[in-house]
Amino acid sequence: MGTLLEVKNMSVSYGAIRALRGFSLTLDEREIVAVIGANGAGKSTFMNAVMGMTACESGDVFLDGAALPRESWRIVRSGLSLVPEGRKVFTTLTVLENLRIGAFPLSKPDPRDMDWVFSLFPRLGERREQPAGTLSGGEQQMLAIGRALMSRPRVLLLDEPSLGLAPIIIRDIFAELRRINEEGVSILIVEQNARQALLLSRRAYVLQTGCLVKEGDSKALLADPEIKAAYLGH
Amino acid sequence: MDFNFSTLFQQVINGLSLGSVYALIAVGYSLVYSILSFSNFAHGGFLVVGGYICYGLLTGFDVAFGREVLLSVPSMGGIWLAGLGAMAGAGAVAVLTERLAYKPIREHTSMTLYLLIASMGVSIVIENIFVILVGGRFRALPQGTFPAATFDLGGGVTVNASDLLSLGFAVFFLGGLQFFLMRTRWGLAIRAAACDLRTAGLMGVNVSRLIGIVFFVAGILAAVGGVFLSARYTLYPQLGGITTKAFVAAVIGGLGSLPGAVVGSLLLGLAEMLTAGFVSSQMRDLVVFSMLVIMLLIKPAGFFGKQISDKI
Ligand SMILES: Nc1ncnc2c1ncn2[C@@H]1O[C@H](COP(=O)(O)OP(=O)(O)OP(=O)(O)O)[C@@H](O)[C@H]1O
Ligand SMILES: [Mg+2]
Repeated sequence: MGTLLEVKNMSVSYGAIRALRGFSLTLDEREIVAVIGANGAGKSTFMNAVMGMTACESGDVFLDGAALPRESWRIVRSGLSLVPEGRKVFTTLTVLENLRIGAFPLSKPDPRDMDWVFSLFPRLGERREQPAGTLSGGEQQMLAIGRALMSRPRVLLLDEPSLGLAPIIIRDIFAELRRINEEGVSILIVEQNARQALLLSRRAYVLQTGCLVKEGDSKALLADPEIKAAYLGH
Repeated sequence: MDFNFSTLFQQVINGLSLGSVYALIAVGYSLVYSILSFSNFAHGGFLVVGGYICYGLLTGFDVAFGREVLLSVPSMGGIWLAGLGAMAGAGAVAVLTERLAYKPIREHTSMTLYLLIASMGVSIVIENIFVILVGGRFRALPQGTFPAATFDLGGGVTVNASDLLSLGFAVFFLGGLQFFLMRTRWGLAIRAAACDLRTAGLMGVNVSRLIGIVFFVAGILAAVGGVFLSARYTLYPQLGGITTKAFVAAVIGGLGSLPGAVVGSLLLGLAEMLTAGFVSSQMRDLVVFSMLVIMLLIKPAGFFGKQISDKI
């Protein structure tokens, strides 16, 4: 298994605020990697910078050893797809239209992609003609994930998919993420919910005010007393 | 003026015809608003560009050069070619305006106020380019551009062929726009961008190209409106000022909403023509702006205004 995605020495500032300082990360083929950190640690900043939504001061991103293009739409076309923080589904469009726009980069969309999304999240299939704005928070999160899958990404990036959801829905969604990964999609997930993220991932990075403070096997981090005290609560 | 059924009928037709021209203008303006959230005051300029290109093609550009320098197109299909030329030209000017005046601002700030101010500047620039180039004179499209026939429907009711024509064309172009937005890939992308422009970029949509397409479409629709307005009234560099009416219609219908823009425009056209028919022509604008004030007081978001119902 080779390295699929590599981020080298990425730094981002908003004026005087240095939100990310020299962060590096790798993601192997078929791997699930998590980035955990508290509010304001720079997790979303990192994801947005990788996707070309936020300009970075320095840093390079490589996919399969080739530098990623700069513009978001080209990045999506080269095989990355982000499920943004707060889901950001197109509320005025129907579930079906949200999925169709997800397939925008494909010259010939395959109907089987949509069937796959509906098999992962049957509740979306039942609500396909409904405007996305009328879905519950959990259903919107499922839609955001389904929409991101429609472009057939090699790397699925998720920014806090557990945000504001009930524990039972979170368990469902994380179980589907594992299924998605088993189908061959590599996953990079950013979470405040450290326990769920560490249970899902193979390796993890810990961010604190923009700096990497720890990295390693997720199992080891789950048992790490410092991590336990700071991120796992009890 | 006494109430009289045939006047009523006639003014309703006139009102729908005028309203449909407003709709062409209002819809393009609303489309830009729905994507970039600012009132594009240069929209009236696109309309004037379309009007003068049409006039120029029909008369062989004697306006600008004082003599016929080009083969004038009436011999080659007349208004059809001139109309196509007007649409392409106004579309191109709209795209150019976006690229030269708005894009640099968009890339530096998310404050839409700057775009609004820039659009006022562009509007003045376009108006004055025509004052310099062709002078401020009022010009009528050559006789015979549109059929001058009137149909007698009996009971003293007559309908102008040109009114029916502008109504028909407006319906055709609005239907075409609806088809484009609802049935094509880029149409879907535009509707998504109207909901959330930033996130549309995450769908692999080239947002810069999308904005270009939106301006091109807005320019085309403005040109069609411009041609019919110059036929109905006359053509002059300040004709774009009539867009104010289309703005009012878009606000009444709900800014950013296309059905709203159409409904608002038809209401406005009807109100204007009924006022002209039964009260007095001078009261038209008073009625228009009273409608705006009343609407803003009782339903500031307009009939179809965007409801904010995002679930966080
Ligand atoms: N657009 C912005 N302008 C200025 N500062 C910003 C901007 N976006 C983020 N920041 C700042 O950068 C830092 C990192 O923010 P970021 O959103 O990346 O954190 P996060 O780890 O995603 O937090 P959360 O878990 O709350 O989502 C914060 O201090 C934040 O205030
Ligand atoms: Mg965040």
